Amino acid sequence: MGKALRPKGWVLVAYLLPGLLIYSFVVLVPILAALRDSFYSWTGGPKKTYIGMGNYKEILQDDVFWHSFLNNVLMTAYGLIGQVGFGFVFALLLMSKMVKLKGLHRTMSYFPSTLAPVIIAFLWMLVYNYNYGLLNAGLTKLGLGALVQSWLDLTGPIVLLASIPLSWQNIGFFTLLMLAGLSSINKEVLEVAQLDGATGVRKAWYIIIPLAKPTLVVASLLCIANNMRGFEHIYALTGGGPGNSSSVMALYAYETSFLRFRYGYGSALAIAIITLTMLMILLSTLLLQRRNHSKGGA
Amino acid sequence: MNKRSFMLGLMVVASSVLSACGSGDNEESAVESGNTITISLLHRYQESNIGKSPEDTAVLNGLKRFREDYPNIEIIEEQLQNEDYSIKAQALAAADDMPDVFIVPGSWMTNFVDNEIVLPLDEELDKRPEWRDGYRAGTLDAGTREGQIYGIPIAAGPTHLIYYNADLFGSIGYDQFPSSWPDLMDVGEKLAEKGINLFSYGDKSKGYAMSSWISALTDRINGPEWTESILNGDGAKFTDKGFIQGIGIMSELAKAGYLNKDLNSVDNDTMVNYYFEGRSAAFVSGIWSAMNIVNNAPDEIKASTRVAVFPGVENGLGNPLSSSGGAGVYYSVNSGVEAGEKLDAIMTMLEYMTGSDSAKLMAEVGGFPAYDPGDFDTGKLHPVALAAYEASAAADATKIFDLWFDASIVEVLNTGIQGVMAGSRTPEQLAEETQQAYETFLNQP
Repeated sequence: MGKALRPKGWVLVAYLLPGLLIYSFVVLVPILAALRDSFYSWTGGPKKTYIGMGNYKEILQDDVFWHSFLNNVLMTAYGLIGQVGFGFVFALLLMSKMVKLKGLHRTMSYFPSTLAPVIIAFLWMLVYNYNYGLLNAGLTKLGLGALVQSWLDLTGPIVLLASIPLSWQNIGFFTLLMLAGLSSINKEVLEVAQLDGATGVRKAWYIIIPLAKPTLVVASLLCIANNMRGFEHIYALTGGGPGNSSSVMALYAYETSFLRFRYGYGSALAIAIITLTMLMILLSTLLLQRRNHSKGGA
Repeated sequence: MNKRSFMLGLMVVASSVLSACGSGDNEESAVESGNTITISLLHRYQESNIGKSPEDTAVLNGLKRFREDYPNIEIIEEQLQNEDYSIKAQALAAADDMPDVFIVPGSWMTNFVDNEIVLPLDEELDKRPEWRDGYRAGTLDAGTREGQIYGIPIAAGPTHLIYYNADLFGSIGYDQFPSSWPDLMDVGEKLAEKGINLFSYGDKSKGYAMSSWISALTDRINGPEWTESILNGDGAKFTDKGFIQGIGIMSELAKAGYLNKDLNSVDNDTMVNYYFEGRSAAFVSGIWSAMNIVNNAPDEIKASTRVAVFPGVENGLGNPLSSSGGAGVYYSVNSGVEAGEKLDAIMTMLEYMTGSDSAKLMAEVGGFPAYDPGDFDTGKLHPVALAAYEASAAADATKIFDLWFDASIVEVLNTGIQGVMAGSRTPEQLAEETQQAYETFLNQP
């Protein structure tokens, strides 16, 4: 950039200041406040008792919290397959010549992303409903009446069942992201690959995936962050139930604070969520980057 | 020029962000310096429920009459839905920013009293003995801590009544609701053969099991002394046999297939609808469902609906006719309100909203007020509503857990019971977990 065009330092700071101010008020201050409250036994009133690391010690032994954490990890895994994975496949299909009416497909697949999570949950409650649900009606029609279930009452696969609506909603977003990433791949490279005889799956595996890696990494990180802080879908769809079987960390922290009146412990849980999420992202970044390096070296 | 206007804009933004928190106080003091009294009121009664819910109808009618009689008192009222109310009220309580008058469910009361959020009202009530003494026995209890009254109850009545379809029971040879558990299981089996559930059940929103089932069942088995003992921390335990047995009865009904399969994933409305559709022969609910049946049930269902309570348990220590109940929610006053004109106005407003006239109206439209309405015109009541009212008045109400236990215990039980009903954990495990939460609560600093 030319020197004449470059704004002065203080102008830059001034431009950033309003955003920074708002950001600190709505994000940084609450986090710091939660950090402070996490050292207290506090039931919501003016009285607080300092208990040091007591809340954190309790978290280490809190089965429900760790169960919720596992659910988050499971949801992330399902999300990586269902959102990033399928998003990528959809994007590839939309790039290929086989698919007609691409605009329509793009719009349709993005449409669920525009809906509020509560509406998504409601729609899927109708799908899963035991008596009137689409899923059971479909199974009966197909002669698979034996498989008819009250789906949301199953404690086993409940996290998977709750992850499907989540993927359904986000797949359009990831498809668009991938499309943007894929369209930046040089057309000539693809043509050369085709001349060399790489088509279909081979082209995708050997040419497109390596070249789209940066997009895939970004999408995966976004997906991990999204699923680790997931709340609305679970809250509206199952309420964490039956029992705690579909509980996630954010929901548990919310319940602890606002239904059990343990604001101190709830704050400690919130801090634990932030820490664990950052850890997950750090780990996955390291993992993805190391793979990049080792591939580059080979 | 550009730079200057930009900086100006920036300062406006910054100052508006920074001052947003402070502006509220100024307005309030400006109002108070005048002669009018301003009362802020936060509750969960809504205009849109008038005519549908007896509670909403009576309370809002009282408020309307108060506004007409005292035009100089300004009421800043906020009506919220049930769940929204809980979230907002608790957030405000945590921020120590409660309005003057608000609703406190019984299970919050201990916490609010401990944190000095609510004002003791004895002195004010003593000035109005006629009003104070008009409440039904026991309805002030869950709003009272260590002899001090902190809340004015609104509605009372059983949280456990069984609404059943007498025609369906008749069709399998029972001309009334079974009076023993073996008979009840027999009914369940016979109905299951016809493809009908004995009870429909809907605990998605958590809390239904506890208020309508567990409290009554535990009392049947353990008797009221056990509940007293556990409330006072006098040695009774959730791991005691009676509590486990009560939960066991519930899970047996589910396991045998006498409840709807989607019991944890449907809410109360769906549960009642299943009954309306004839998918179930009965459902367990509180007095509030009586008007739902009167207003919404198909005619033939409405005509054949009767009211009963759970049968007694063999060797049970409790009264087999009792029902869990009592006042559920209370109006409380902010501890920051000082005695004087304003508190006086608040008490008068509360008397309008919950006292004699309101109570009479609530009873006439099918509710069960905490304040004894005396004789009222029962002619307008549908037989189902009347039966529910009579069962309520006759029942020896035992304490509902969710009003009396601390929220930390209630929440563990509410969540855990779903697991038991889904078959993923045993009643013993639930008892263990509840006991653990109970001990944590007792040992809290």
